[in-house]
Amino acid sequence: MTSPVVDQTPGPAGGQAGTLAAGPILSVRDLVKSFPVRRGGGPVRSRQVVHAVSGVSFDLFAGEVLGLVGESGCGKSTTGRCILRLVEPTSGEITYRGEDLLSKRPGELRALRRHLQIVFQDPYSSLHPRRRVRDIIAEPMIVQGASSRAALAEVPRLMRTVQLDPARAARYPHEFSGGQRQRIGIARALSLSPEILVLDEPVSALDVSVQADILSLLEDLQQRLQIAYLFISHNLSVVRHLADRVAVMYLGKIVETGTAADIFGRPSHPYTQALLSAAPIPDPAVERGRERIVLGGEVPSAIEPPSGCRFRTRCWKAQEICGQDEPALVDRGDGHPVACHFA
Amino acid sequence: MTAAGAAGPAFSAGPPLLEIRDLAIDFGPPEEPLPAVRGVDLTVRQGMTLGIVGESGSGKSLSMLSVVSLLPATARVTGSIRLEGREVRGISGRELRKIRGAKVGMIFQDPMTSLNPVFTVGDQVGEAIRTHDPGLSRRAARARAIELLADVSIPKPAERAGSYPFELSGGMRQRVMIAIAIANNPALLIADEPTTALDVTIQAQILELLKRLVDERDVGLIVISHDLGVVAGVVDRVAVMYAGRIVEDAPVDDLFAAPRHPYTRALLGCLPRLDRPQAALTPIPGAPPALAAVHEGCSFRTRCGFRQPRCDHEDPVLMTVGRSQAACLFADQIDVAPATADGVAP
Repeated sequence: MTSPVVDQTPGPAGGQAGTLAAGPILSVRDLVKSFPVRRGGGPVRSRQVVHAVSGVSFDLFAGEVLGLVGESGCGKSTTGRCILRLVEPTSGEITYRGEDLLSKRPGELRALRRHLQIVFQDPYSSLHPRRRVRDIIAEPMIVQGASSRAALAEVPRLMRTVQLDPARAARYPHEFSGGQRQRIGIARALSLSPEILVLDEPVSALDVSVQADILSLLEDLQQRLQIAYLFISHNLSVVRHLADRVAVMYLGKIVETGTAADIFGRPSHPYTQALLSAAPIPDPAVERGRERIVLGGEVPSAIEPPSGCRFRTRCWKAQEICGQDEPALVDRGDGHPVACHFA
Repeated sequence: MTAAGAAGPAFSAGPPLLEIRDLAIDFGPPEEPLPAVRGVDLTVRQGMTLGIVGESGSGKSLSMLSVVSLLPATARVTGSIRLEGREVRGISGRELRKIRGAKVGMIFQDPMTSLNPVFTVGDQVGEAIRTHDPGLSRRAARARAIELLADVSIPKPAERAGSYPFELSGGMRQRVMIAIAIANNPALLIADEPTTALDVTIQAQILELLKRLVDERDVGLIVISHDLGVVAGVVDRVAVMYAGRIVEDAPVDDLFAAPRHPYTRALLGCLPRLDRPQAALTPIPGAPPALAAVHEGCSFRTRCGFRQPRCDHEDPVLMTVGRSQAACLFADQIDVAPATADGVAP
C-alpha cells in the first residue's frame, strides 16, 4: 500500500502530521454493545448479558485502511455494525466528521449514511434473490432521493467500476458466481460515493483465486477513490496485505493497535503474538522452522469474561496482577498502544 | 514442527494403504455424462501424509468420498480403489461397513452436523467402538471412549463424555470427531477440510493433534484442503486438483519451491503472505470450466499465462520432472518463466 501510514493513538489527542492533517473522519469512543440473552429456556429465567463489545475506541482517517482483526466472537463485526447503527450500541460515542451518529434521528441518520456504507461477508444472503442486479445496485441512490431513472443511469458505470459487464444488469443474483456477487455488493456500496466503507469479512466466503481477485479490486478502488476502509477480517494474511493500520480485538476489547509494520513486525501483546504464530504460512520450509505458540484452551464466555485482563486465562505470561487490574490500552510513546501489563 | 519426510522418507514395502488408479466420477445422464473427476491416480503409504488441494468443485472431496462409498447415489464411479491391496470399489454394503471406521477413519469439516445432536459425545464414541466390536460391553466401550477423548486432549474427558455436542465448542467437537475417527485404529485417516470452520488458534491446536496422531500411531493421513497454508505445515506430499484432475503431485517442498504446473504457480500467487510484505497479488483470470462431457485440450488453458497453440488440442498427461509430476505440456520448462498469470513471452 502506498497511502501514508498514520500513527494515531486511540486517545482523543491527535497530533496529525502530513497530508491527513484534518484529523480523523470517524472516531469511536468507549463503544459498548451488550446483548441480553435468556438462558435455560424453562420457566426459570436468568437474564444474562453477552458483552460483545466492551469499551472500544479507535479513529479512522480519510483514505486509510484500518484492519480490525480477531477470532469469532471477539466483537469485530458487532463493532462494524454499530458504526452504521445496524445494531444500536449500548453506550459510547461515534462521530463522523464531528457529527454524533448516535444522537441522530432516523431521517438525519439516513442522510449521513450516504457517507458510510458496508459490504457483507456472504454474497449469497446479502443480495435480494428476486431483484435484478441493476435494481440492487440502484437502490441506495433511490433511498437517498434520486429518481429511479437517474439511479438506473448510474448502474452501468458502477458495474464497470467493479469489472462487471453492464450487459448483465437485468439478471438476477443467482446467475452470478460468488466473486461476481461480491462485486455486486461492492458496486451497491459504492453507488453513493461513500467516504467510509466497512468491509465485514468481504473475502472469507470465497475461493483463494477469487479472493485474490476481490482483494485486488478493493485495493485498486481504495487507491483510486481514496475511500477509508474499516476492513474486518479473521484472516491476518489478508489484513497484512491491505491495511495501513491494524487493531487486534480479543473478547470485546482492542488489545493492540499500530501500523501494519508494528503489528506484523513487532507484535507486543501476547495474544497478537499467538495469533500471528498460529496462522499458517504457505511455505513448508518456513512452517518447519517456526516456533509456534499454540494457545491452550479457548476463548472464555463473553457472558462472564475473566476479571482483569481478559486474555489471562490463556496467557503464558499471566501473573497475579493480571487477574486484578485490567491493563489499559496505553501508548508508550511509540504510537503502538498495547493493553498488557508486561508489554 | 516435525519435519516428516521432507527428503522423501523410506516407506515400508508391501501394498500401499491406499492405491487409486484411473478414478473417474460422473454425474448426470449416462448418454451425456458430467465428469466431476477424471483419471485420478493416488498412492498413500503407512506413515505418509498427503494433502489434496484445490478450489470448490475441483473434485478433491468427491475423490476421497469414493474411497468409503459416501458419494451420492447418482454418482457413477469407475477405476480402481484398493485399500491394503484389496479392491473396494463396488463392494457390498456389509463389506463396506467393515471398512468404514475400521480401515479408514473420516473427519469432516463441520463437526456440528456430523455429530448426532441428541446423544452424548461419550455415547457416540462408544457406538463407533461397538460397531466394530459388538461383543464389548457398554461399560467397557464407555471406558474406552473416555480414553479416546483423553487421547485427543479433551480436558476432563470423563466429565465431557456426558456432554451433548451443542455444549462443546467447535474445536472440542472436532476433537470428538477425531476420537471417533481413530476409535478402531484405522490405518488411514481422511480429513476433509478439518479446520476450515475453526478459528486460527484452534486450527493450530487441531493440526498439532493430527500431526501427533500420525507420529504416534503411524497411520496414513490425507488432508483435503483449499488452504495451501494448512497443508504446507502438515503433509509430506501434495496433489493439486483442478477441474476434476490431478494437475500436480509433488513432495511438499518441491511443490512450493518449484511448482511445475501453471495452476499451482497461479494459486501460490493468489495468496497474501503473513510473513512478509508483498507487492501485489496476481489473481487467476477467468473461472474454472463448467463440467462438460467433452474437453479438448488442457482444461486450464483459458486462464493460463503460459498458453501455447498446442494447449488448445493436446490433453496433457502427468509428466515427471525431478520428484514432481505435472499435467502440463511444458512442465519441464515452467521454472524458467516468470510467475505471473498475465502472460509470458512464448
